[in-house]
Amino acid sequence: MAMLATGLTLEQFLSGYAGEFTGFLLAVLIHTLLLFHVFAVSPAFFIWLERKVSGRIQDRLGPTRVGGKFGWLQSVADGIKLIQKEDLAPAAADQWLFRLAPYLALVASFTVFMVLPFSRGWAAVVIESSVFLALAIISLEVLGIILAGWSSGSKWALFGSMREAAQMVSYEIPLALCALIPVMAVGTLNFVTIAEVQSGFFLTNWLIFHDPFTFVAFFVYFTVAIASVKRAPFDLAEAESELVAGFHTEYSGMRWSYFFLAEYASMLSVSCVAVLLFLGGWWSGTGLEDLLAPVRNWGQNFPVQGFSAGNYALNLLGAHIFLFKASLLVTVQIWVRWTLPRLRIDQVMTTCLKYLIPISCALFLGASLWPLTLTTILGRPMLLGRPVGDRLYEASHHSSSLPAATNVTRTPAAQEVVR
Amino acid sequence: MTVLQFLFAVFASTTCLGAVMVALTQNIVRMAFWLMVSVASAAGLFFLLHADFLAAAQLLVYLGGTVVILVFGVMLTAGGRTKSLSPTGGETILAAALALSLIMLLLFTVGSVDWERLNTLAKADQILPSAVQLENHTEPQLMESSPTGDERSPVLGAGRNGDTGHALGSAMIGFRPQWNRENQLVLGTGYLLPFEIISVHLLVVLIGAAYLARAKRQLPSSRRSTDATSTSLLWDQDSAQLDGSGSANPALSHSSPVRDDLSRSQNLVSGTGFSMFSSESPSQNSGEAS
Repeated sequence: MAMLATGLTLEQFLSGYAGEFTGFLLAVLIHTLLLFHVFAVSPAFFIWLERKVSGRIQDRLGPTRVGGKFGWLQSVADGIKLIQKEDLAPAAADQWLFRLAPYLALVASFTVFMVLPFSRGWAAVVIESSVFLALAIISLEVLGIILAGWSSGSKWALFGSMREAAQMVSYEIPLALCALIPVMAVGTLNFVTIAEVQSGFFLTNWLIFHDPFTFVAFFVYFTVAIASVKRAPFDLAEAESELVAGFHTEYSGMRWSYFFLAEYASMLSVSCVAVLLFLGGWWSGTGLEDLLAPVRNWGQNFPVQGFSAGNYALNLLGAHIFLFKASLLVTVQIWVRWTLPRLRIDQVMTTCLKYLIPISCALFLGASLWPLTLTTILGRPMLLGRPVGDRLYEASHHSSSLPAATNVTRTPAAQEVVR
Repeated sequence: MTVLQFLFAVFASTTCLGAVMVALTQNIVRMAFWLMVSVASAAGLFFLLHADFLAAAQLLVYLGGTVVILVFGVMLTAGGRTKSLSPTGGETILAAALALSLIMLLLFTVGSVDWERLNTLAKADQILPSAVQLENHTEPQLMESSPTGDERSPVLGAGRNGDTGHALGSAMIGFRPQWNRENQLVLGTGYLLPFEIISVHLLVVLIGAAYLARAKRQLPSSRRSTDATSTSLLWDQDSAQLDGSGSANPALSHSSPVRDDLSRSQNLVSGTGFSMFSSESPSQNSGEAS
């Protein structure tokens, strides 16, 4: 996972040894394998966490037997059980679509991870409009779900998927509007740049504290994000108490677990987006990284940038901080699910259309007027801290590895090789 | 075969495969799936052209928006007719004529491009990027902050590698670098006017949709209106349910012009659009009304 600023990309490096085509294939394989680990291992952890947290909230113990005192291996046991189950398709189902739909959901929720940077220079694909692309891909998961519900040939599944379609089409609007607010504060659609400007002390530099509107926007975004991954209190597509199991009523075994995997991976990906846009990306928020900056020069400079010893260590630290913050947000999602009662479908739609969309429109307007007003009154665009533009400029000139230089802003797929 | 050519071949063939399968499939939801394949592969082609913003917009608008709404509409209307669609003779002829004219248009466009010149330009361009890249290895810079972007970029005002977002955004609000007659880069007005027209158009559509949706909810009282002659089965059930509250509402008095408008729009809805929802017997609505 290395797209770099001043060094070679992994693909260019491999191409130099193995030829253009093989290098490309190898780079794609390495990136995909690494991301697939994030994609597959994190849901296993979150499913265990969900069981444990829900147990504690309901005054139970949760899993205690598999893998010792805390039931660490519960997810593995679940997986083994699910693989053994029979793969059924009902007679009334549209067999072909029914078998295909879980993969659509899975692919969509996996693809989001391709555009997420996990640390400085650690992203599979760095493109200029990555925020936009991430939002577009997040909105695609619904396709697999509504196709699953339709092709099941069951009333419950059809109801579930109709609800999901109505819910997702409406909730995409406030999701995009709220994501636009930090984008507007920085002035770029690039995740990497947005995360880079949030270095330093969190109170002044994280975008959630940029102005009052981004502060509110974070909470609106998080609410909408819970709805967009169809978690309780917005899990109307599943609605176990009314619709048996909603869109996946007819699924069993591995195909069922693909939906499960996609849901938990999406929980992580929307949380990652929230961390990148509002909560300082891979920065700890203490300013510790500025003290550690000289470490980046340690070790022999490997041709693939970001892989010299010092750089690698700091990037690893950043990735851990990033994933820790994202996991905290996932924990909050779990906590919300087991605390709040489920809404009815009309309440879900009312919440979105009558409250969340007007609120996010007002926030959008406010966030665009805020710097203008402050500049008029105070003569500077921010109350606290240095303006984002200054930070952007400084970051690009001081640290040579701000990945805004030209040779990073391209997809590996479309990479031309230096000859 | 280079990587780019390989990827182009993959995406181009899946685009075509999806399009052909849309035409050949009978089941409308499977058609929607093949449409997804075609549209997503077209987005892949846009990525290959470094048009990242366009590709993301393609995914968001066509895949996440249009196809979802298409499938949603099918689910609402799912009857015997939509399960398998086979065109009649007249439709086949009409479709064939349309397809032929489109193919001719495409062939004409392909034929009118000076490929020789494009090839030489591309070859000249191929030498440049590597030089630019080596230069950038030593000194990175923020391409996005340069007002005119990279001059070698195929999109004026854009940075080289797919940073079309900034160029598009500036062009939409009226700043677009363009070549003038003396072959100099100057700031043009961009697409400000089309952008505004489209925004106003979308606003009108939104208000219209909200108006139609509102009319449905206030219909119960129109039952006592003199010109409300066509009430469908559904409206009747609604008005029976809300009879007491509807008549007690002074805001919807008999001679209110708003209400006349509403009942007119209701005629419109139940006459045309709403018959879509009761695909079983379209004549039942009008029979109920008379």
